[in-house]
Amino acid sequence: MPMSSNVPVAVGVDAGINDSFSAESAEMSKPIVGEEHVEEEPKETVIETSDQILFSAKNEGFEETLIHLAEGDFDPIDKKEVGDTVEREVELTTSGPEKRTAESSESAQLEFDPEDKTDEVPKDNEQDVVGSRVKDLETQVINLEEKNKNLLEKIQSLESSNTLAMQTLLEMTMVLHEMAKDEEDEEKKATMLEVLVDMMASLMKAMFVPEDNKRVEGVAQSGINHQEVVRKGSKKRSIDEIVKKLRKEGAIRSESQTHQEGPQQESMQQAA
Amino acid sequence: MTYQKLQTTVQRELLYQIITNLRNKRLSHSRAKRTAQVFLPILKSEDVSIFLNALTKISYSYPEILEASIVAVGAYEKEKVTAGLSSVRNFLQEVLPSQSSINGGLPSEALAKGGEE
Repeated sequence: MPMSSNVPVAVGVDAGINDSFSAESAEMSKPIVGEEHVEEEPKETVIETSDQILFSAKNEGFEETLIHLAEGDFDPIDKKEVGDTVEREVELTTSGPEKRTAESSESAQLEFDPEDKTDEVPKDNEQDVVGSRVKDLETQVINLEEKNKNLLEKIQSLESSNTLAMQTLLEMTMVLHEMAKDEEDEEKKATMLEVLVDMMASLMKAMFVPEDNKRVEGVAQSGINHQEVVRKGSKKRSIDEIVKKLRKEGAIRSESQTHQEGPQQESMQQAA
Repeated sequence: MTYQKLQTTVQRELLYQIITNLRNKRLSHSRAKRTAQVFLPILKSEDVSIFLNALTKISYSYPEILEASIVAVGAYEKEKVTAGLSSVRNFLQEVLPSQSSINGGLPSEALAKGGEE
């Protein structure tokens, strides 16, 4: 009975439970040599679990802790059945392709920064450079569009004054993407895609920081910082600038031709 | 020690064993979960004897419960014996003074001292 000999006998159980329990917690960290081997688990997970049990025992009581343990509430996170929130968090924060695309787009942007590199790149390679830039941006747009599809469902369920503006902006991005697909001129296409990416970034920003400076509930639970979504190094443009640029580029012909209407534009500007 | 206190002590000792063994890798997480699942139903036992019998039964299969029961039940039994002896001593202190003067038995002061020792 190696362990029980060190255990102080609880006489005044109700009074001194927590004190003796916390005093024993220091002893628990001591390793015991020469004991039977149990199946290997990651040490951090085991320590986390035991800490959780200890914390719960101190705060909630012994029986409650045992109930939690029996119900699997202290299960390691990888074995735990993930709920909607956790699942969303995993989807949005640790999805590989989006992160890779963001990095690649950043490097592409540095590479094709017109102020620094325009003179250095030969004209023969310029077409290839634009083509690769278009490919990168297209990949980025596809990834962001997939995310937007999920966000669209979320937007529709939200009761926010920004909902209409965000939905309009989202539809605009879709229309612009369709136009960019049909565009034959590579440079124009690249510009349109760049604007599209900026719009999507603005959309995300509007999503994550609503007008009352509170995060959307679901997004707040997922722990996403909007700054992670906004591309690094991209200029912060207001929606007005983007719309003006789109009109210059011909992406949006006029307000009446597109399905964005006056009130929606106003609400879109509010979202910005 | 009341029945409630006994249960609390067993729970406390069991958690101690589980945490210690988890940290020292002597107990897997699934086994800890199973131990808790087996232990919880016996807390609903109606009285101490049923509780202790059930505890003894499952102690054979779960070392953590065995360790906890040895500590908790040992303390419970010790306290129970002390309480019994104390009540006997009190009874004798009340009864013997009248008897000692007649039969020449032990004086109550000597009994009290012996009981304290």
